[in-house]
Amino acid sequence: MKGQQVTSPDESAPETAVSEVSLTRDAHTAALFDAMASGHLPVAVCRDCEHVTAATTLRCPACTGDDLRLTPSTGRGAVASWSTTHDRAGAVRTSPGIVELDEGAFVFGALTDPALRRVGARVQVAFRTSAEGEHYPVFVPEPLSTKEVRS
Amino acid sequence: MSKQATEAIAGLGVTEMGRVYGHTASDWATEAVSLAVADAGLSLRDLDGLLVNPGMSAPDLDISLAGKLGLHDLGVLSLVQSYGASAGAMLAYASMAIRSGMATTIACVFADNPLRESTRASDAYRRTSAVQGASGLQIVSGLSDVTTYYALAAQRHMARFGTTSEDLGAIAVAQRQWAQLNPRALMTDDLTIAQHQESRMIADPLHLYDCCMVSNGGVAFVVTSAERARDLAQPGVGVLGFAQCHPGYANDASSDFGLRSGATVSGQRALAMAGARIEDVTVAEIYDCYTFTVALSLEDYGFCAKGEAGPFTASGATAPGGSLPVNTGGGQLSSFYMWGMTPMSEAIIQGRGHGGARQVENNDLVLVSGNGGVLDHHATALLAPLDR
Repeated sequence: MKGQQVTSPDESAPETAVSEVSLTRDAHTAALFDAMASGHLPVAVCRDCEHVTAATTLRCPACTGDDLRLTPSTGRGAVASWSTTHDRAGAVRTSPGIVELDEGAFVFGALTDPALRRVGARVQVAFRTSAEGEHYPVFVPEPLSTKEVRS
Repeated sequence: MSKQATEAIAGLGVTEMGRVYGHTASDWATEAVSLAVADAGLSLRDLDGLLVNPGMSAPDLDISLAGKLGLHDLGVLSLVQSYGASAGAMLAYASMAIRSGMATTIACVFADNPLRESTRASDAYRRTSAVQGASGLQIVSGLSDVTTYYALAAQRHMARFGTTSEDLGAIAVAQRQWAQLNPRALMTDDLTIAQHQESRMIADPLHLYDCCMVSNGGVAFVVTSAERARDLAQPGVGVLGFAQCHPGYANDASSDFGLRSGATVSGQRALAMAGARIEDVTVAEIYDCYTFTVALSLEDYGFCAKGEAGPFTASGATAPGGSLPVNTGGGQLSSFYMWGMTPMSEAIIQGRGHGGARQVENNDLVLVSGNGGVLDHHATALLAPLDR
């Protein structure tokens, strides 16, 4: 199975080229991958103290409770940090980012546009699929219409 | 200092370092412990405790080292693993074991053998686990090695506090100046801010000269009572304080990742144990996997204000002749890479007054800082010459 399609909760998100990567789920992330396959990026919410954190988290970092529920996020947020890795000739190899979703959770994802290499840049999630057919998040510029609504 | 140490470091063993092939990690550890014991004027028979910290490429190094050294009837024998904080952790556990009477004379050793003749340094610590689950999601985001995580930490700090790449360059340059005074240092060519800026980008904002090297080798030290240390071969270096802090960053907006490390709390706790203030520290040996780690640690310990590590270092404060000598052997950036043993070994040398051309004028209170993971694990120790 070779998944090369990009799915996005927002039709205006640009399609981006996909390189074939290997990625599979494990027991701890099955629900997260199911959610991403259905087209949304979840966050984890602690049922005990309502703290919102990353969907990959196993225990609430605020109260250590283990009753976390996944709930859909807006898929929008701002770059909390970014980097680019380079080959020996200096060309950009990868462009990873940490995105702070508007709900507060951090998500790792590739930044697909050089304009996003700035802390605070507004982004929106898009999904790519791995060689094994699993969806994973990347980040694209937040569509203008959304920004206008926000301002 | 009003407080008197009850435990002290009596021996130090440092093997050959760097691109040296044909040894295993347990070979390096065996040699380092033997050197440390001889340095103290002791024999292996005098050891009744051994703490072992294997590096990431040391599958053969474990507590079977005791048998390889021919040790018998040990009162303490254990692996310790807090990554770059392990040296400080071992010093603390050894001191407590001696204080409690579990043992009298404990060797603490780190060794690693990451370099092969066919291996680039950049690949020696590269992650090769399956691309699966939560860690797989990070790998497909472009995070394949530790350097990139530190780059994300540094970038966040820069955006928040205005730290610049030139600020980080000042740290690399100051440490290179120290390395040029250290006969054991592996990198001693002149280094300027301009060369730092021109060096190739590894992971933005970290240039080549922001990154440490990787070395094969081993380092060990021997801890005993201060009373016994006074009768041994070397000037004893007293253990006045030690502490750890493991922040456990959340993956959400509450995280201080890149902004503040465990050094803040670890430093305060160690100073409280020693009955000292940060202003009393006369020389600091700070874990430096990257220049950024030094910048963040200087701020977190309170040597300078938050966001001021760049100007503080650029002023020359940490370089030879400066007001707070930092990483006086050149650190892992310029001397050799032995995790927390790089700062620990240099602290012992400075505490003894054996630094030669690089010996600091005032060694009254030496701060040693270990950092492990990606700013995840901190251990601090405060050392001072005995009977001062």
